[in-house]
Amino acid sequence: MKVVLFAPPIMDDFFWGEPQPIAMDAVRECPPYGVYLLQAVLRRAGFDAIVADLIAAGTARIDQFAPEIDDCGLVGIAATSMSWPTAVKVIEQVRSLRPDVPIVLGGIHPTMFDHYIMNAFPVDFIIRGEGEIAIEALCVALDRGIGFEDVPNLTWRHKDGNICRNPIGPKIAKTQLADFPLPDFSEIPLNVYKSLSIESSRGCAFDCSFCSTSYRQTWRGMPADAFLDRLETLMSYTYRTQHDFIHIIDDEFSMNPKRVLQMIELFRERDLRPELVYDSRATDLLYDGFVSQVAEYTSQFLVGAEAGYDAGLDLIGKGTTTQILEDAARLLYRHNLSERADFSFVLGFPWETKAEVLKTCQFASHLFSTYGVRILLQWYCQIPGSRLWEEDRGNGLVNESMYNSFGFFRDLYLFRSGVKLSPSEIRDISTAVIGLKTISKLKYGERPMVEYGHPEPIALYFPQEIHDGQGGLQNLREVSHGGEKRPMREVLESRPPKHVSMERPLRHIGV
Amino acid sequence: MTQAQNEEHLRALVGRIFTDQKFAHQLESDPENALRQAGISLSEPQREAIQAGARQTLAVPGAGEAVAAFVSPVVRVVTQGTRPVVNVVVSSAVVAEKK
Repeated sequence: MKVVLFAPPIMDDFFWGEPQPIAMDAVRECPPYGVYLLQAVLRRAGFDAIVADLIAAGTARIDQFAPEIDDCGLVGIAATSMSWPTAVKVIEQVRSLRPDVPIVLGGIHPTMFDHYIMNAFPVDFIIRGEGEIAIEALCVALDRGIGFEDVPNLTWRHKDGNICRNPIGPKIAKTQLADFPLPDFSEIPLNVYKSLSIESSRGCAFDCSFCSTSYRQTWRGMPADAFLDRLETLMSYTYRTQHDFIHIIDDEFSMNPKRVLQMIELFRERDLRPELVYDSRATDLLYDGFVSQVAEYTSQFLVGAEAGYDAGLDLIGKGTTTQILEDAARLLYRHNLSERADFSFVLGFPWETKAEVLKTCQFASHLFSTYGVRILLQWYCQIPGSRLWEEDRGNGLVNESMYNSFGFFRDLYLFRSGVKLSPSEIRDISTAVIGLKTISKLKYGERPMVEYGHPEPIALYFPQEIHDGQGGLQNLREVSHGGEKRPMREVLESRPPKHVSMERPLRHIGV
Repeated sequence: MTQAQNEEHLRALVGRIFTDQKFAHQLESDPENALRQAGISLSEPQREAIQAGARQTLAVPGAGEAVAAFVSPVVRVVTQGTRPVVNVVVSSAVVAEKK
């Protein structure tokens, strides 16, 4: 049986006739590991599995895969919440080509909302959670024409029309993670992706309030030697990438620093020199010897700092403090690793006022100006799966139906249901951060050491041309009651500013 | 001014941005003048970096220059998808470039 597995990119269609890839899929960071892994699993089981890599192709159109769809026995589509709108487009096209072919969905978004999706979209199956065992069992069932009752993690529709939810199978043990075949990257398009992807662990021991990843409060790390075997094999294909990087896609690569140090020893024993991109935690960086050992294999890494004040870190449940963050930044500076570190902060958590946001900005700026770490300042947005989102869902503020169309991340309602600052307060923050970026250029030139984006919903619906409280009823009163004499200074001050900054989107295009 | 004094001066300016809204506005609207008034004399490379920043756009296939001006923050900032919420937004990977 032939199986076609789709990897839809994160896209938007705001300015174009056709949706275009955005975010990490615009730069094609690394191949979608999960989809290529399932392909390898199915091939090992004897199925003819094909990856329809729409991320590499940079499109939502499936035309080029029409011949494969024409004679396949199953179509699989993976989706996060961010790529879900593209997945919806893929479902529509597949159904147009093959109304009869079974469609199975996987990934975190269908996992969260299987019941809604099965009822709202023309799909047949959803695999909830880990797919390696379930997809093979599903293909066997389809191939042999047997029932689906024994397929773990499967949501499916019974003949009577009812939705059935099979029990979740045991989580794959950490020692089993390395038993699955490696994704076959020998045929990925040449020089399209920046790096190759690999997994060394699943999950995270923590449960931060804003985090939407699967497998929180559980962490499974492959044994170091098993990971090295896989890495060594994978490295023979880095020539197919732009930069030869290896992107470790783990939620938290360094959750067990001892394990990473064992890996470093093995790198040296086997004379391997991978250039790694990964995510880490400040507390892990302080583990004795970690930074000094990992430095020479680190190309870039992200530290989830999140907030710049201890009460906020407590509310997040991050298990860290501002002192730990500062100690980590200082240590990186001493080992000349700070410029390869991205400290990521979140602005506008639902409990925050402008004062708290400023505290985070000030702390982040301090780390940048004192230790030279790059800082990423990013506004909170409502993505399903987090404790915060679930609370708002419970209060009737958000739900899963708000994520079916392109551009939900610029939806003003969704944004303001999370971020409670007023548009003018957000503009003040943006002004200050733009100033910070200007100062960073004095030392670092064009190297972007401060990453920030003025929130799109605010840019779209509260452009600077709108002066708070001006016009509207005031104008009606003016024409109704006749002109009042105003001092010229007051008239001039009421005019919109002439300056147009490239840092503020939308003011340049007349929207 | 020595390099250490220069860096100390820059750190002081960074500290001022989030407490002095007027200074922040000046930095956005007229950065060269604001820095001059703050006691910074710009070198030619620094002046070029600041001026280039105002022109910076990110090329996006099929998009005109005006669109690119909008898309730059989107491309850089919108979430990574496999990561949560906002943390996502810019991954190290997205900004990692070959040295």
